[in-house]
Amino acid sequence: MTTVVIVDDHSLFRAGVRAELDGLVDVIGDAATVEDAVKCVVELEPDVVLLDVHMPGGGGLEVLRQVAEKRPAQRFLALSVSDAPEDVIAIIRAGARGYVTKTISGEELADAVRRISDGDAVFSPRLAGFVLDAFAAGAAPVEVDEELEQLTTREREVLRHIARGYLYKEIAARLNISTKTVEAHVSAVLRKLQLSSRHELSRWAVQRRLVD
Amino acid sequence: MSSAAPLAVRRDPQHGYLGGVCAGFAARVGIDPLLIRIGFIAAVALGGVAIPLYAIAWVLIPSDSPERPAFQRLLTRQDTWLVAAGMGCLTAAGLLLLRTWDVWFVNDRFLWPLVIAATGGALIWRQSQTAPERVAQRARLPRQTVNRATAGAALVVGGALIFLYANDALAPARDVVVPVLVILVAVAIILAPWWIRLVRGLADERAARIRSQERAEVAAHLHDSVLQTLALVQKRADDPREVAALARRQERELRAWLNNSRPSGEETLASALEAAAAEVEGDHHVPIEVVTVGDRPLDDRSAALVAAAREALVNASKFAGPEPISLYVEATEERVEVFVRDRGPGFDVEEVPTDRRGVRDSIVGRMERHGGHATVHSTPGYGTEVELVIE
Amino acid sequence: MRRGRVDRTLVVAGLATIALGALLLLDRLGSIDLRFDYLAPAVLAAIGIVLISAGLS
Repeated sequence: MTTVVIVDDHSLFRAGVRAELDGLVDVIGDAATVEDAVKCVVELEPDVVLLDVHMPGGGGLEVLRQVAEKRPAQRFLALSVSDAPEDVIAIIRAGARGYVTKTISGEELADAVRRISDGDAVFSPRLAGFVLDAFAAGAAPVEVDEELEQLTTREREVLRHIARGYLYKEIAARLNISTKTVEAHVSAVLRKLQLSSRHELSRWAVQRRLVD
Repeated sequence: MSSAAPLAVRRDPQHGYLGGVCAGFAARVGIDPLLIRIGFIAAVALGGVAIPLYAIAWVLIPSDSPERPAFQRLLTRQDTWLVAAGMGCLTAAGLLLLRTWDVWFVNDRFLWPLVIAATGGALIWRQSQTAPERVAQRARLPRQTVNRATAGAALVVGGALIFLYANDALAPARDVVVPVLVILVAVAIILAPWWIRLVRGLADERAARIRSQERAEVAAHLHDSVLQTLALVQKRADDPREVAALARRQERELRAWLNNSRPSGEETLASALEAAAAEVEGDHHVPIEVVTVGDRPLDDRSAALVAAAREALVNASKFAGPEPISLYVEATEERVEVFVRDRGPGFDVEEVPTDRRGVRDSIVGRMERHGGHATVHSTPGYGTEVELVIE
Repeated sequence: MRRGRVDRTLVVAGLATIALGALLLLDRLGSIDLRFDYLAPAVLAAIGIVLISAGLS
């Protein structure tokens, strides 16, 4: 079974997630502070870390940064009540392989955890919306790696379906491709999101918050 | 003014006649203010330099009590320029009179420098004594504020220069002027820290006040909304659907409040759709996940789109069970697409009974009247998706 | 602070004018001997008072 460590400063929430994931994945530990989280993750080496974005002492970003020094292959799934684009984009760019909101159901969460542990990316509808917005036409800068700065038509199509609330297998059926291909598209988008050199991404996120 | 003084000199306007400078120094040294005043007047009579010294001390030394003498209050009110000009006129009048009477030093050599200095002094004075609230209010006119201060400083310096020039002809007078300048510089250096601390203190106080105002605002909001909802949740604890709906509505409100930087009054397509979704969710207690990409101003056509989307959301809430509904909006300059998707039982689009015309009339018809189109995709067992497009 | 609805500037200006007028009248009646040396400061003072009161109202 997939092993998971939960990092969140709210003990009630940790207990709740533990209960919801019971029997679906193997929760081997949890931590409430950045310091504890880093120690715990490095020690237990879980398949996936469920990471809260907002925590005292630097938040999820700090955990990502410190763990990456010791265990670069560690996989993270960001789990947050925040849907401020700058938080979401920042945590994804720092290396989290997915972002879901805390209102997600236990089963869906377990599914997302397994998918992350398989090396895929997990986008919630909201994150898909952010990404589409960030990569929207007109914002593309010049003299950069074209491939990294644009989404392909297919990737855009997949993201739109995620934003519209479709599951991966439904998307696969609608687009006449395999679920694996859908996952490949999402992973490609994740890679672009993380590697894209466009400073606009961060600026966009802040601007969006200003006008949203 | 020994450097070992642990006690700061404070003006004592309540016991003073003008700014309370003499009274303040007297209190600090521990002697009768009358002695200091006699010394001050003697200094004035001897060379007149005590007047600018007094003015500088008045400006720089902080007061120990909020009460200000009437004369100073006069100078801290509105309309600096008028006050400054008035001060100049009054000073000129007084000095002219003194000259006519042949009182001590007054002659042309002193008259005009003093008038100019009084005018500038009034300007600067008014500037430095302005209450912090007033400063904040006038912060949108920083240039004007700076201009006034600069003009005041220029007048004072100009007056001082004319004074020096007129005196330069007299060798003995120069011997007076040089020590005075040295003393002025020394006093300025000694008093500068107080001045800076005073200014900093005001800034800190202002920051603290802003912080506490913000805290009060947050507290008021939490009382109005979150605590209210929590109370309702406790009362309705036996009705999980109601509790979930309350929680979601509160969440939506709180989020809107936290990101309340959208300029109010200007309604956009995205905000209108979000509002419609919140309303439908409140009425029908089915969660609606809203994702928006792009935005555009709300015009007639997009308003029709919002109305159609609202209708689709209501339909989905009624017929699609408790699973969340997805509302996705993608808006660009030339095209707006809205998808309303539910995970309900679905139906065969071909076999909609004619008595259920709601969808056809209010969604499809409305969209077509406004030059857009609506498509309903549904397969029994796989939910329904309504697609609304305007181009 | 602003109890009355009276325009203070106007009142002060009026009083200043009255004072100046009184001075001139006294001069005319021969009670006092008004020379430029005294009149100029008086006029200046009147203007100054009016300006200050206008600035403060």
